[in-house]
Amino acid sequence: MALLEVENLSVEFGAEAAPFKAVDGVSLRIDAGEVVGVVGESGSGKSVTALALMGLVEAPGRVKAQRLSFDGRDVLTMPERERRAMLGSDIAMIFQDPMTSLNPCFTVDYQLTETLRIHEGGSRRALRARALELLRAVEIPDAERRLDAFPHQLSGGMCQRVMVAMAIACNPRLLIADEPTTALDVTIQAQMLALLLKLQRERGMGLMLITHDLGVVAEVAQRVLVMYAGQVVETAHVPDIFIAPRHPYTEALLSALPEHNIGKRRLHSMPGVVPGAYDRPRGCLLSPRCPYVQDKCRAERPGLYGLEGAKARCFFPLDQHAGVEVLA
Amino acid sequence: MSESNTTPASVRTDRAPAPVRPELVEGLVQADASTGSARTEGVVLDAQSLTKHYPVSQGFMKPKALARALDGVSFMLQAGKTLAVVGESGCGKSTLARQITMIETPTSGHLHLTGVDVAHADAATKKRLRQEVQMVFQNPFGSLNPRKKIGQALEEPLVINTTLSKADREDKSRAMMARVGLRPEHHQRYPHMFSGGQRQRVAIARALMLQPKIVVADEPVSALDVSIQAQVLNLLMDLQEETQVAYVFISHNLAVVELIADEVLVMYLGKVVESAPKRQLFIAPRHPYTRALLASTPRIDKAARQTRLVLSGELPSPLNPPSGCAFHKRCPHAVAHCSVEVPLLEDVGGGQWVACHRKHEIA
Repeated sequence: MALLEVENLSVEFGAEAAPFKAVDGVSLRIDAGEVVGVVGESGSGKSVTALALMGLVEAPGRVKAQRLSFDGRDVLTMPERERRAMLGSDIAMIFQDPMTSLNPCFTVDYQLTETLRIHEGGSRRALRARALELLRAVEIPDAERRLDAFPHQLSGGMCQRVMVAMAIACNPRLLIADEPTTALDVTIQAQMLALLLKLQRERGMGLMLITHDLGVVAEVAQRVLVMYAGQVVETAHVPDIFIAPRHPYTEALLSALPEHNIGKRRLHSMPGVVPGAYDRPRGCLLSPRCPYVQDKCRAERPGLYGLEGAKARCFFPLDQHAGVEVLA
Repeated sequence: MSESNTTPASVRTDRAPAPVRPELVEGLVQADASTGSARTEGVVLDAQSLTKHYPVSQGFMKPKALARALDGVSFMLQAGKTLAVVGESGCGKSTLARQITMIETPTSGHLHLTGVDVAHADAATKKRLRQEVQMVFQNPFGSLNPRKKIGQALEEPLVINTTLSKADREDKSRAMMARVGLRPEHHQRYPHMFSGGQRQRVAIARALMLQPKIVVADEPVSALDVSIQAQVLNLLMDLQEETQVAYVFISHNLAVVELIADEVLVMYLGKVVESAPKRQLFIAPRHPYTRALLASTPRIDKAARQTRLVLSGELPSPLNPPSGCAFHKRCPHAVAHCSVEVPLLEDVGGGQWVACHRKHEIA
C-alpha cells in the first residue's frame, strides 16, 4: 500500500472567481522506502505542493484535493488534532535554506528537543540525550558542544544537518526534503545527499526530494515527477526519463544542461519563461515555448496520458513525433 | 607563502598569448598609449601573487587576528578568453573579484590591468581603469536598484564617465538592450517587473555599457533556473565573441565551467591548488581537491559519473588554517609530510599547475 496518495491536489490563491492555481491537479503516490524526485523550475509549484501536504498553506491560499491519504488514513477529513499530531512526526519536512529556517534566538538543543517535547514528551535530561543521539545520527562532529550552540555559530552544512536531525527526531515515515542541498557547496552537498540516503535506507522512509537539479535526481531517485507551471507534465522511472523523455519540456530541460552541451558552441535553450499568474496560455501551458507546438496544443489543455508510472501531459509525446529529430 | 615567490614568473612564461583579432579589439580600446603593450600581447589582466589579509577583531583588548582570504594568487587573462575560478564558499573567490575590480586594495602583490600597474596609478588613471573592469553580481534581485528604471540604470555609467548628451545616452542604452535581448519597451520599466533571467540580462548590459575589457562575473547564473541559465550563458558567450571581452567567471558549478571556460583556477582557502586549461583539468585533474569537486558534482549520465568520493569535514577557517597543506585534513591521500610543509604550485606539463606533494604518486 502506498504511504502517501494524493489525487488532484490544487492550491489556489487570489479571488474565488478568477483563482491563480499555483498547484493544478497534482496526483502522486509515494511508497515506503521509495525516493521520489520532484523537479521543475522556480514557480512550477514544487514547494507549494510540499507545503500543502504539510498543511502549511495559510489563508488566503486554498488547498483542494480529491484524495489525500497517508498510510491509509484520510488526511482531509481527519480531525485537526489528529492531523497536527501526525505532521512533524509521521511526515516531516526539511526546508531549503538552513540559515533562515532555524530560529536564531534559541540553541540547537532547544530547537531539537521542541519537536520531541511536543510529540513524545519526557524529562529534560532524556530529551537532551535524545537530541545528542540525533546529532550523532546526522554525523555532526563534536555533537555535545554543538547542542548548546546557536545557529549563527554553525556553518550552512551544519545547520542543514541540524534541520535533518529535527526532521528525523520522531522517526517519520515520510520525509519531504525541499531543495535540501541547493544552498550548500558541492562537497557539502555530496555529504548531505549521502546522509539523507543513508537515513532513508536505514529507516525505510519514503523520501520526496524536491530539487531543480536533475543531476541529483538522476543519482538518488527511483521515480521522478517533472512539474511546469503548477502541473505535473511528466512522471517516469529513473533512468528512463533521462534516456527517453516523453514530454518536450523534460527534453528541453535535459538539453539545456551544461553537461549535455560540452564541446558545443552554444547550449540548447528554450525561448521564453515560465508563464506567471496573468499570462498562462489557453491551451497547453508549454505551447508558447514548445518547439513541436501544433494547433491543437494552442486550443486545448492536454491531460496526463500514458501508462501508470510513465505519463506525459502532451498530445504528441515525443516517441510519437515521427520524423521529428530528437534534440541532443 | 613561499609559493608566491616561485610561481608567477614561470606561470607567465608558460602561457602563450592568444592571437587577437585587431579589428575587434580596436572598437573596444579607447585609445590610450599605456595600453599599447598589453594590446599587442593580448593580456588584459595580469595578477602576480595577489594577497589580501583582513584583520579580524577577536574581542576587546585581544590582538587582531589575520584572515588570509587571498594568499598569493597569480594568473593572466587574455582578451576574448574566460578564466573560471572554482572553489567552495570561503575559498577567496569573491575576495579575488574585489581585488580585480579595484573595490579593495590588495595587501601585497601586483595587479596589472590592460598593462597598467594599479598600485602605482594616479587617480585619473584609476578612474579610467575602473571603466575597463566591470562586474556582474550573483543575485539579480539584489544588484539592481528597485527605484531606478532599467534605462536609468543602464545610463548611469555613461552619466558618470562620459560627456554624452542625454539623447546619445539613450541611444546607447537602447542599443545595448537590443543586444542582450531586452525589448525596447523595457527601457521605462522597473526591476520588479522583470524575471530573474531578464534582470541578469540587465545586469550584464549595465556591465558592458562602458565597453570594458574585463568583466568579472561572480556566480552569474547560479540564481537562475536551468532553461534560463542556458539562455544567459549563451548570451555571455555571444557577447564575448562580438566584443572580445575577457571574463573572470567565478562559479562553483563545474558543469557550467566546463562549458564556458578556457582556463580554470581551482582555489582552496585563499590559495590556488590547481590551474590548467579547461580540457586538461576535466580530463586529468591532478589535485585531490579538484578530483573531489568533480566527483561531488551530480551527473545525469552514468558514464560521466565518477565513484562518489565524499569528502569529510568542511572548509577550515582562514583565521586558523591547518599547518602544511591546507587541504590535508580532508584529503584521502594525505601523508605525514602534508601536515608539515606547504606544497608549491608546480608545473606538471601541458599548462597544468598543481600544488600537491603527492601529485606524481596519485596521478
